[in-house]
Amino acid sequence: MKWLLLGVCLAVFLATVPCARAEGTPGEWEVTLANRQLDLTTHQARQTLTLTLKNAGKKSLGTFLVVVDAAVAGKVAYFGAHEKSDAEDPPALPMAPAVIKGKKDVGGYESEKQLVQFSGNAYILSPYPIKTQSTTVVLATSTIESFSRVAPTSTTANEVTYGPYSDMDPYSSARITIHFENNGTFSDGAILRGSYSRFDHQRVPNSGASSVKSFKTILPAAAADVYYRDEIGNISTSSPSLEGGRRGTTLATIFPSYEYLYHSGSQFLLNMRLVDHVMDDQLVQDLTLRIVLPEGAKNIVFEAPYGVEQQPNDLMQTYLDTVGRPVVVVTANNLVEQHIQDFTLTYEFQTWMLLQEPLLVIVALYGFFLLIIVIVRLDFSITKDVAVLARQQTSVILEKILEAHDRRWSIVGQYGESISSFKQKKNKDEFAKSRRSLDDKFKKCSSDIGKLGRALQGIDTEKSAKARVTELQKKTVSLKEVVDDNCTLAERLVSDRITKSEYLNKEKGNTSNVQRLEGEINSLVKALN
Amino acid sequence: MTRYTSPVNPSVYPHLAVTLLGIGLFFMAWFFVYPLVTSTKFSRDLFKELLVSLWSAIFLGFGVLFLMLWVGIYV
Repeated sequence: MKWLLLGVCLAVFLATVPCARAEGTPGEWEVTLANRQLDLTTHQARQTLTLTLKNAGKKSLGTFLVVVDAAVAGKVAYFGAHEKSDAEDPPALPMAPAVIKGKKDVGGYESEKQLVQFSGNAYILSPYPIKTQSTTVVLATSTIESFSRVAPTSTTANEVTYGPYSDMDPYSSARITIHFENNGTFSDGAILRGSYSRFDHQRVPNSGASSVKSFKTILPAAAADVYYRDEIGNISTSSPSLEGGRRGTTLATIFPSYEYLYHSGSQFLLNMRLVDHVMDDQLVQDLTLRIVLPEGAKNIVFEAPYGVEQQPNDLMQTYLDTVGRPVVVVTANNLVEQHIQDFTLTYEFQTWMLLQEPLLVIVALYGFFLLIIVIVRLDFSITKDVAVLARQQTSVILEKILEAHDRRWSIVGQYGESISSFKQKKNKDEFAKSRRSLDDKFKKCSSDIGKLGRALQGIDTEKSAKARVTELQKKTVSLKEVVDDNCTLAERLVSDRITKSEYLNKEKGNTSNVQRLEGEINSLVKALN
Repeated sequence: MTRYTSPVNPSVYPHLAVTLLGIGLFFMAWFFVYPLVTSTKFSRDLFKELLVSLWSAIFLGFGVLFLMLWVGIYV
């Protein structure tokens, strides 16, 4: 003999769960004791069957069939089964649902209570004979307008008990209806009769008993930037959701990705709830889950914990996107609390693609700057002020001449250093080498200045500047001659072709020449500045 | 598989945005002042303009990115 607890959760207005089809004979099961509890306290009807089974045949049986009334077959949201044994983790069993149906009054005033009507079967629908059975219907309130009797039937407060019935044949049926008060949040509750009165809603006691005045949502601990608003941005309670009223509201939060996202190299895995808690006893009729992945995500694989429909991938284009972000779209129907389970989504994403967005901004800005560079260079002036242009050009050339002159001036100083080092070390090769290199540099500077000077001659500008540049070149040539002479003297001294006193005498004369030329050149440079 | 953490800690977005935009704006100001005010047609240096504007674009680009992330535009 086996004990089975068959927990079947049926949502009154809900649909589809795959049903185990009867294949061949149902087997020689005999149900010795069956207890059924129908929980009608909320807008969802929950049925719990507790069965004690006995294998009346000789073969061992692997399946047990549970049937569901055709009237609600399409409305079952969820069902599960487990063995009522000592085992910690009872095995899941293939199941088929039972009989439940609900109906509500057509209309009610704002201050009225909501009455609903439940119709179903007084007996447990079963393909097997049941020895002893009873059904307990738990109602939301003790206000019962009417209920069918199938003797023996008893009622206490908010409970109606049918049975116990003995030795029922397979597929026994006796229709019952129960009419009672239930202010649950039915998705298509009684339509409001008359107009909505805010005054009544706030002042009249018991008004709006069947409206949704508030609900509590459980958010993950890491949720941030939570917002809740309706389609025009209100977060007020200006019109509470009365029965039959559908309201579009948005509840949004931001989660840090490290809570749900895992990766290994370019492989990413998202592990999140497919549907999360919105309110207690929630009933999600249509769910659309859209997962927007980063641009460039490839090889996207979605795995659901239960049957959902995956739509073709969408494409979303938003800020700084080029080809668009892939969007995984998943739809599902009739989900209840038991469906709050995790899905996994794997995809491939190259991390360097993160740089794409800043690069887009950089390229755009650089393009803008290049445009400015071009525009600034375009000349739209109608008349040209020749004098001003000449002055600008002259100042630019003079600046360049002075720059080159500064370079040349420092080379002259280096000649002196080179000579004194040569006199100490007496290394002719080194001296010749350094002299050659300094000569080259000096010539380069001089020719630069010469070119600039010629450019200056071509400009219609002050004659004094032109003359000064020519003078500067002349003086520098003289200075170079003196410097060359110094070099030759040093060479002679080192190779002992002149005496020290002769050398000192001649060097003295050269030094005074250098000082004179320096003074003249400095005054020229000052004038050019 | 390890938990994925953002390559840049989100708590430094404001600092990064302000600093990078500051540097970027400095270069941009320099770029705009240089060809229009401080130089003449003859003293302009194209290479310098290209270099200054490139630095400006780089700093402003990253600055704008972090500014968007800071204010909640998850680009």
